[in-house]
Amino acid sequence: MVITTTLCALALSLPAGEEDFYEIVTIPIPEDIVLEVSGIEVLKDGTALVATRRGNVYSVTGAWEDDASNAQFNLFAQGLQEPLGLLDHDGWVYVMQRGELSRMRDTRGDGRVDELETICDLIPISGNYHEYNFGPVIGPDGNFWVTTNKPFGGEPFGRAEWRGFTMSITADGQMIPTCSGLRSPAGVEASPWGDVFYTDNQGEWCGASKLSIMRPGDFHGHPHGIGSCKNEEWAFSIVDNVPNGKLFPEVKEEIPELRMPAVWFPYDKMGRSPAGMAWDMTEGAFGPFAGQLFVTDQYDASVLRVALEEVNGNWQGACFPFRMGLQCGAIRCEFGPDDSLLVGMTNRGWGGRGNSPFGLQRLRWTGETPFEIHTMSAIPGGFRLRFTSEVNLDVSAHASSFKMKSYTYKLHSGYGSPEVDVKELTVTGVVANEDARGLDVMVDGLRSGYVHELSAEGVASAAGGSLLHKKAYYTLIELAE
Amino acid sequence: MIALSSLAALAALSSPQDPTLTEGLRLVRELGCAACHTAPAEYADLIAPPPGPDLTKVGERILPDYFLDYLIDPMGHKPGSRMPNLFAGRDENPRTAWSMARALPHFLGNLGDPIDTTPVPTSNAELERGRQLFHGVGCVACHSPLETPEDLELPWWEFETPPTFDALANTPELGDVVHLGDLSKKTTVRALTKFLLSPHDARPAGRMPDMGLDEADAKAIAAYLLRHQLIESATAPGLRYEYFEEPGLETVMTLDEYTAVRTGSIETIDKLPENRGDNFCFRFTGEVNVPETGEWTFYLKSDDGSRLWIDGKELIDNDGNHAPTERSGKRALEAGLHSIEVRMFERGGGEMVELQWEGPGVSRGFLSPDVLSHSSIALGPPTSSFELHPEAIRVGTKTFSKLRCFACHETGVPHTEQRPIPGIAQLDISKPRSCIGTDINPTIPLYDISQPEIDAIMFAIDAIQQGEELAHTTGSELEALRCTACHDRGGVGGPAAARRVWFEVVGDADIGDEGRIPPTLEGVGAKLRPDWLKTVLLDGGTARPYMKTRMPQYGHDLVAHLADAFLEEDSAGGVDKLTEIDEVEIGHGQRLVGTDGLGCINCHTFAGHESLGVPATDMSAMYTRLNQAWFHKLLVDPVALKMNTRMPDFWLNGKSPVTDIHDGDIDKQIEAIWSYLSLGEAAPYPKGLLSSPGEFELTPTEGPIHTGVFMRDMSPRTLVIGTPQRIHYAFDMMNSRLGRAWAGKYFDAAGTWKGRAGQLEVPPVPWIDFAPDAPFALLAEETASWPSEMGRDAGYRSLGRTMDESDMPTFRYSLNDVVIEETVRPELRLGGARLVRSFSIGGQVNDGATLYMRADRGSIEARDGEWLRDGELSVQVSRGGRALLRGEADAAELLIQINELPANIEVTYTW
Repeated sequence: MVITTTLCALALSLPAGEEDFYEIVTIPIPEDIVLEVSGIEVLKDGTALVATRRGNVYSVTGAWEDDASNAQFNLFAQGLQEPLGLLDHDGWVYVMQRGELSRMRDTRGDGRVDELETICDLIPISGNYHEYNFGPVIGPDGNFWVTTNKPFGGEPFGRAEWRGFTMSITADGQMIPTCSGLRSPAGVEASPWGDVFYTDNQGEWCGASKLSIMRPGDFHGHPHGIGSCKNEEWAFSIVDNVPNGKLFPEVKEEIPELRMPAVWFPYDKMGRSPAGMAWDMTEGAFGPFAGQLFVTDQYDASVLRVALEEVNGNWQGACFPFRMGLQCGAIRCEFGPDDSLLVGMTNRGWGGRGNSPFGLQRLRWTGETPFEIHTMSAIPGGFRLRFTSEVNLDVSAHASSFKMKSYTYKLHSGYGSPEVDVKELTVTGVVANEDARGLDVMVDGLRSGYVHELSAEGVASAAGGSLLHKKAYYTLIELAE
Repeated sequence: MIALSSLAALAALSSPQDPTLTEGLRLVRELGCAACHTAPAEYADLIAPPPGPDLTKVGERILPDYFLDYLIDPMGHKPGSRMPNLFAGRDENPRTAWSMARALPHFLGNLGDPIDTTPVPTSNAELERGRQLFHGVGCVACHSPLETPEDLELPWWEFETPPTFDALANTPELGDVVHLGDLSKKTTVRALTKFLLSPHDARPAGRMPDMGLDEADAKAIAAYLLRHQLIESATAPGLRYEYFEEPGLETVMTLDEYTAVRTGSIETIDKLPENRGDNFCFRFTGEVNVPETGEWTFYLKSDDGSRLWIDGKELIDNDGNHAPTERSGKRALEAGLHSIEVRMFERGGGEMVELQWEGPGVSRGFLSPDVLSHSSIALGPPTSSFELHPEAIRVGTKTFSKLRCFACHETGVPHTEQRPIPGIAQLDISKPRSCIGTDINPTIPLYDISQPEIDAIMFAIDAIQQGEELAHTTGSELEALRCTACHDRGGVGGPAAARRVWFEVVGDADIGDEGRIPPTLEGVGAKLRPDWLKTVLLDGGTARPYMKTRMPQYGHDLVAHLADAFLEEDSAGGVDKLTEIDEVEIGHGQRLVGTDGLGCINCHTFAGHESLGVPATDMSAMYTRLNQAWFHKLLVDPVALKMNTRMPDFWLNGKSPVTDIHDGDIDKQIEAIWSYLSLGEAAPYPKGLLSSPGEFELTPTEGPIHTGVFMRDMSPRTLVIGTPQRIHYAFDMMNSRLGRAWAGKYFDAAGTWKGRAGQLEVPPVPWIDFAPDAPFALLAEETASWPSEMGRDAGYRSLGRTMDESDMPTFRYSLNDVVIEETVRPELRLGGARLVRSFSIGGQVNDGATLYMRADRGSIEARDGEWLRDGELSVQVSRGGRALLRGEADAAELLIQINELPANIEVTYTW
């Protein structure tokens, strides 16, 4: 059966929708498979390995056809304990389970894993459901980087150390604690330039969901596990006495180890639970956002877009809405050989949008270029907006076309933080870039450590269209000089 | 008799009232000005003073020595108290003041029966429970917390020096604090328990609300608050015991939640004190006197489970539901006293517990009563030499009258004072004032108030004298009753930022601040149905079982009118459109709520059934609780109504994702849900709420099924393997050991796969346990005891597993330089189950040690080339190695000695 969701604008008079530019292709899942997706890896031959929360891994073939209805699912491995990430590396498939980093392969060639090796089982768990482990990816040190979630409630086998950490694991299984203070680090991904980023979910000690770079010795804000830093394995300075209730940038002054986020995802405006990530390395085959980062949201059934830049040695940038309307909580994504984005979903245990319990879909570029803010970058005294096509300067290049406010978050034990210290900022001027595809928006009162929320209501393209998404959220940490 | 304060004077004013005036009116009322200065009739209700504490039986609840202390300096004891100082001018006129003051305790102490000061027995467990309750149920919303949340994670007895934390009381960030004063000098556990159970009897003003405590909880809190009254009795030989009765026990770890049915002391624990045979548990506590420094081994045997702690640290875990089983633990101990705790439980069948030890100079045997000791603890007030004196009672009676104490306090004793006092209308506010000013005069009460407060009072009195139209706002009422300590409304109230850390969820509910901070009262009149609002205020109605803080009760007279006031101020949310049952709409609603609709039950409890995720409010009660308009608004845009809520908004581009009901129309779908919810508890269950029979039941048919689980009493990293031969086993991946096997049904994975899951699993049918601890050990000699360490601590490393063509696993692990591959295969046999464990062992054994495999442990007897454990499990060493039986009784061990590597051995288990 064909379940290709092609949502086209019904008539030309309707404003363009996301579906006009990125269509959703649903991959039908055999009825006897519960595909609560927890990990995706696309092998070199185009086979998609899809791990599930129930501990199976399926090899999926035929998923990249225009019509995905002939996709085949075969059981590749079973009995893994909550495998939350897969990595194809050195002829093995590495998998992060609850209790161990393992690698597996099919030596008989019958499509089924027959060899599983324990790489490292030093990450303790207490028997609490929330102690998930994510990864692995290859870190800048060449090791496997994984992140560990913190428990919620009972710890039946006794409190476990090293929860809320990034671990760097050597090929021979040594575990090197690398960052502390993570909360619910549901996504971890290596960037094309080697740095590893992770997504964290809003909650206690995490005022808003965020994307952060991970550098050895970082403290990311949550004090749950920092007691473990007193163990000799922790090679960095020890953070204690995290103040409760100060603003994030204030705490940064007191605790230099605190890692400021690269991007905050303001609650409900940009999803609620960022999870998996994929960098667009399709060089344009997925549309105009080559090199940018796509992030799935497990609440929102959506994919968000992030454009990062390096300012004074710090990675920071903006996030933008991208595509909503997936089947349910989107937890993992990976680009396929056809340059579409394969998204895996599950809503088990966490409610959200969408009405399927799980799902597997592709986002495919239709070839039409949406009129979007392509990038938002910090410049002295403002931001440079680059657009996906030429801008109608007469209409757009005015201060009144833009609104901006800035706010930050509290680092506190309360669950999430409201947007605090909110300031409406005055747009003092707009200067067009020479090629008419960019506008420099000048603003009074930029603040470091604050989200700068932009509304570009008044911008129109040279072709007369309005922006598909008018909002952008830039997390300004380093001011441009 | 003083009438209960009527707070009903809430009127809609034509124009907003000056805030200073509002504050002044509140003060005039709260300070009880009109108790002496009669109010003009039209304002009588408005400023009717809340009654002071009822003293009719005050002698039964307050220690006599406390009265004088308190009366001559009430603010010193309780800063911010409404009780004025009646002897403020005693320095000017000491003789009068002192003679009056000294007689009062005799009068007060004579009211009611004499206070019972007999010490009340308590226990560490009770103090601990009181400590957690005091900081959990909401007491610290008004009173100062005494300990930090971090310290509360450690039980009371694990502190070397019990924390006092009096410093916390002075933390300015805590905001307004209702001081408790020095309770240890004021009252007894008995009296405080009685007060907590029914605070309005003694304090009819209702400012101290009824927290809905049961007697055990109230006593626990009282004990904790009076912990400074602790009396340690002389030590006694043997151990103290607490006896609990509880059905369905599975572990001794839940014992902290129960209340002891009986306590006592016992010489040794090897003979259980009197019990009811099944469904009970014991805790034994005390100290053990270790005669010599060195390594000490304890052996704990029980039926069912038990555990041993030495110095508060667990040494032996013999927990779980089982036949008599012995476990041991070793620790280096200094000579001298060490705390000891043993817990055991019995669910059904036989029961026993035995504790033995061995160490330097002591061969294995029971602990004799002379090495065990315990001290019992009780709470009692300091001794007092106070005696009631008839003459002083007479003087005190007169003094009470003369000081006009009766104006605020009921005593049941008639008063005689007739001295006229000017009414409010007659007060000359231009003159220097005594009771609220600085003109200190003995026998005129002096209130502890600030200059701005004095100004506000003057402002209010002036307004009354001018005959202005006045009213209280709900805001000032909420403040008076301290509703604002927990709830916010109109931008005022809610727990102070520094106090919020003490507001917690019950257990592990992951629902954010909505789960722990009491809800806002903003728009509550529009949110809640009037009937439900009244149920909450007057009948203890609650909707948030996940919240630790409890909604207290204030009594009908004080809060009945608040419901109406909320409704009026919030211009309630209109009438339900629902007039009749529409079955089609109900069907739509049912689908929308279920997992094939919007999936509300992913988070919401439904008719008492757990959701698939967090325990958000029960949907079946929503129709009774909520106004339809508010419900509709919430569903349309939850974040607009509640910033930071985790309630999803389901809609996309103005449409529902469920497109085949009302064409995705949001409003119509919400109305359908409302229709469905109108059925309340009787609503048919939505899809996904209850797992359909067999939904998570796993049945291997074509090949083995591998499932990773948390296995109770084994490990959080257990792989269970189910086979089509219907013989299944659980392998502990963390400790590289085969743990359990069973035959028949494989496994229902609901606890691991449903919702957030994370349950500890057990096999669905009775199982056999393999020998505990590590399967292999390197022993220096044949008699060396089997190590109690497992896994990495014992030198093991998990290497992984390989799978054969049929997907049956072979587990690979190493012990030092020995590499072991273990395959576990079911074998068919007549009338029972059989498992064959095959080991292929390579690598090398270092000098001086011999490798042994422990094939079994328990009560083992040799029989025709096989071994029989407990008469039910037969073990055969079918290949390789020399088998030897060592040890005796229940601790016999069947070992296989492995002299050469590589080696192949095979052990068959039949049951």
